[in-house]
Amino acid sequence: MPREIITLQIGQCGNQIGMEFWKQLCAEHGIRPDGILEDFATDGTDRKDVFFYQADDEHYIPRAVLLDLEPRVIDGITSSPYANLYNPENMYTAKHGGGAGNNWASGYSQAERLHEETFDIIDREADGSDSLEGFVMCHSIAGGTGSVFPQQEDVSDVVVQPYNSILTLKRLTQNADCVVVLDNTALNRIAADRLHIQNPTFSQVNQLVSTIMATSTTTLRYPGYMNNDLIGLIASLIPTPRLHFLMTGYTPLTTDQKVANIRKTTVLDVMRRLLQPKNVMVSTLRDRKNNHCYISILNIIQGEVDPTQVHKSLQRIRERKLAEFIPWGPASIQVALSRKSPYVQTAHRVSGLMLANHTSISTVFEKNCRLFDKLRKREAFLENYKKEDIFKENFDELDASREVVQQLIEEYQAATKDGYIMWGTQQQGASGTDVSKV
Amino acid sequence: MSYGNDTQNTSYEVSEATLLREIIYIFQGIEGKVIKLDQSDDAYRIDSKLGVPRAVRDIVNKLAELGWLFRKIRKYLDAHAGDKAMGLVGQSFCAALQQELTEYYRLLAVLEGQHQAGDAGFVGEGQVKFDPPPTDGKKGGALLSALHSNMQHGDPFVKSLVRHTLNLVARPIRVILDRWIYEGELDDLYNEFFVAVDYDTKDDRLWYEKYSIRKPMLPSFISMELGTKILNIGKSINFIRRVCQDRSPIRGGDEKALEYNRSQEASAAAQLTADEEFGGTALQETVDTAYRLTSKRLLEIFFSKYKFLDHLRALRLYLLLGQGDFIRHLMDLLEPDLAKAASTLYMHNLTGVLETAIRATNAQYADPEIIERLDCRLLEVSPGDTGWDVFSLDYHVDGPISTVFTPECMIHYLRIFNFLWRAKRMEYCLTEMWKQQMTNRRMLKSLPEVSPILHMCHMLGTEMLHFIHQMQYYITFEVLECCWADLKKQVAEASDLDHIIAAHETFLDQVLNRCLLDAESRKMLTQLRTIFDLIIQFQNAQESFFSAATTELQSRQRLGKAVEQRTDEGEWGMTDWDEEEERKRSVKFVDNVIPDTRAQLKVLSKSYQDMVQQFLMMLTSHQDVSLRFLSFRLDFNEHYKQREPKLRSPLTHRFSKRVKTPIPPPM
Repeated sequence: MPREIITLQIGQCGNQIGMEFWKQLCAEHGIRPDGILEDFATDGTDRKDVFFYQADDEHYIPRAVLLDLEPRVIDGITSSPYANLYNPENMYTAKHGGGAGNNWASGYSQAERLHEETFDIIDREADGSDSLEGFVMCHSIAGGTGSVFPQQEDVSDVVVQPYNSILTLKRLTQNADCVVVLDNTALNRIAADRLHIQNPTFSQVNQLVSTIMATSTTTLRYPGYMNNDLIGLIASLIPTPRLHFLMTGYTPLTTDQKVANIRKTTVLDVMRRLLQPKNVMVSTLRDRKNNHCYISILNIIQGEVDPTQVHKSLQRIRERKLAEFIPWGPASIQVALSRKSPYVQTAHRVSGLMLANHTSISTVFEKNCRLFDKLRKREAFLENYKKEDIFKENFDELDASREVVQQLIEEYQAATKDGYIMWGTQQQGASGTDVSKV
Repeated sequence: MSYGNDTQNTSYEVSEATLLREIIYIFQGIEGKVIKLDQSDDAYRIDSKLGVPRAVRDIVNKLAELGWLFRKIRKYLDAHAGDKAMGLVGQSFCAALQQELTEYYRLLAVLEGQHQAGDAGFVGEGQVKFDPPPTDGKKGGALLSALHSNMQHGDPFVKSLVRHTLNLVARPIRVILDRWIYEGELDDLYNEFFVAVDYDTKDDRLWYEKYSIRKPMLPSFISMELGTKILNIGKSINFIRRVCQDRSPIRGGDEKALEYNRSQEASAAAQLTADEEFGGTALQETVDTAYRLTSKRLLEIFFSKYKFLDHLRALRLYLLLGQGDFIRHLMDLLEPDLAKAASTLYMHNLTGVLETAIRATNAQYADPEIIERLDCRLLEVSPGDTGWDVFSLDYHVDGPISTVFTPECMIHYLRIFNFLWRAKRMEYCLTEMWKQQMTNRRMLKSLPEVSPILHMCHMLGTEMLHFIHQMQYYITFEVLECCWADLKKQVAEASDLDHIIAAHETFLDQVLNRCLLDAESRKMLTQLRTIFDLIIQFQNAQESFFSAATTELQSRQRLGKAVEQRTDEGEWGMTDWDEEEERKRSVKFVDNVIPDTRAQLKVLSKSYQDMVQQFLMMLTSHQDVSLRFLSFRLDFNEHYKQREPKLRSPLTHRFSKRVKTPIPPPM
């Protein structure tokens, strides 16, 4: 089966999200926690092979690699009902099991030592696919373990988070093709405001994330006329290589099906709500200096949709100017209709996911830079970093990363203006330091 | 005593008794002494020389008309009695006339009896009266129509007489009709029925050509609509029997129930011609019932035994590219082959690739019967064609379903496939280019000179990608999804095969129109092709630039390594010769390749934008609303509108209203 996707789950956050993601995928494809296909799901027209492969005994096994420097989360997975779902050879915990202690530098050094073993696993997994489409990486950017070339991320609150984030952001800017940004502030806000859960648990929040992940891949798993491969899906969202940080929105939101208030939802309702900041899973800040706008939008709509409604909804949105777009090129709301899993009951007739490239994502990075600068000026909390090889001599890597993030912010700001069409002609190249090891 | 100066003798010479006797003879068409056939008048007249009073003469003349009529009818009957060419209806008409004549004879006998008994009273009531039968040369249904036209007669007596006769005469047609709507047999030796059959027609055209309505034979009391229904009932039965090879009873249930039904219906049928006005509700009901049951059975067979819906879905999945994973993989596999000249393609290679694509994707789970029908096809090769121009998927249809999927329909499918396949190829080209941009950006980071070019590539690529993606979304929604939803609804509601055929044709027409494949859109299609060509040109330009840049990068890296190595060995990092080589190559790259590419991209970008703007102009003035939707999609954020004054809204609005006047493309 061509165009497989391998999921790399790294660190505590990555593995927790990953676990929820596979739970969701299993439910949607009618796969039992032990990997056996349910009787009712045998004649499906879904593509399971994008994310799973079949072992000799017909078990479905996720194309997933689970990596962590401490055993807690992965142990949790191996003692869950889903223990036998994964390929045990793809679960890797560092032998000493001490973790990285929220220290990016520690994770970096350990990764250098473990890099051969882990890449063996990834290589083997890659060899098992006919034509690999790409990797999806789940990790947080604040912690110590997840770092190399990710695609999905999450932010949490740790003192040294600004350092870790900037260091990771540099890698994400330079090496990832597409990053879906989610942050805990927004997720918690959504849990509280939209779901009325005051103190959401990790699992409730991660369920939100797994919904996003599952929905964004739904067109790959239920083939149709369009959007049948990951690259086709993201290519239209990302105009230039560095502007690849996407935000997401989802509506209607429910983690618990029973509390869903049932109402008749139309395509227009869904598309309009997706454009409302309160449904977006990143908290961007107000920026008066720049006229932030959408670079691109893709709405994936699922459920009982009358196709004739799509055009009308688009017309409405344009008439009411609900979305502002870049001034330097054609842009529009793309709408993909996707089938829904027949095995998962939802309370809503229609639901929608928005993947959007919006220039205001730069405010998230700016905020991070501000926090970083405060700490960096005082050289606070750097002792643990200095212990590791990469920072033994100096903190150049920190400053270089900060520079890369600054350039990214500037490029996003430039993209709000007409002159972006000529952006590359004035600015020559990016920074010279490069430690990508893909 | 004379009543004026006319030639007639109006004296009382002939006795009333003689006249009465004579008139009774005349009633039977026998000339007498006094009343004779006047050849010039073509009427029985009293000899003008004999003295008969004028009033009596008038009465006799009037009465004699009966004799004249009798003579006419008699002659007609004598002439046609044994005439097989008259057909069954003609014969039954003769029989009916004969019956009336017998009645007439009886009347005459009574008259004569009364006369002989000395009853001098004149029989005033003319019991028998026929209009001359306007039947010359007519037969079958036409004869019925002619008779039926007399139904409008104001005289209730005449009316009831015509009705009675019509009932008798219509019987043979009724029998044929019953056989036709219950068994599909056409027992019509004399071609009297209004359903005609062409025995030369092959079964695959049975539905369209084998049976037709013989208009002159359609009795005037059966409307065209009803006639068509009757035609369709028998046609459906024949279709079920011959094309679908199904011999099971049409009406379902056991034979006994069928028998019962038939006898019930037959008695109802007998009444129906006795119906007040003919073609009243009784016939309508019988026909409607038979029609409903037969069509239902036909559709059942069509849907269950011949899996019509599955085939329809298969056409959407394969020829209309609905099975995205399969199409994507097929294109991946075929790409190297299709870039070559069309003449170098071989069917056996292609079918092999097709097989591989099926095995590797979800197409493998489809019904084997469906997959078997899927095939490749090479269209006619014209000089200069590449594989892309001639390759097509094909779907074999035969048997009953080919009645809906006619060869003409399949040609339409192939044309649509070709259009969608081209559009899909553009989508994939651009996606591929995007992938290269992403990877090359990382690789070429150490060549800062190229970054402006890269940015130009990104900008143009994005613009093209936007165009193609919106085009594809338009195809998804406005073309495929909406038309398909319509078709599905129509098919679900269809009461007979004709509905399905019509719905399917409408579907294809709509898709063709919206894919710019109809005659009026030819210019736009050409414009679109030009845009596609520019995309391919851009692809080539980008590819050659990337390969030039990669070569440059590699040689710089090689040089760098050599310098390092030599420095390690304690020699000078660079010799003069190295330096000279390096300079020459770099100069060539920086001074030639980069500016050339920049110029090329600028030209490409400019002509691309012009083409798109022209295309948008054409779209905004198109008749089909959905194509105007496309222009709305392509310029959602009004990027082009701001740059092209002619696209500004008041103007386009006016154009969109005056759809008939084509706007000249801005040159």
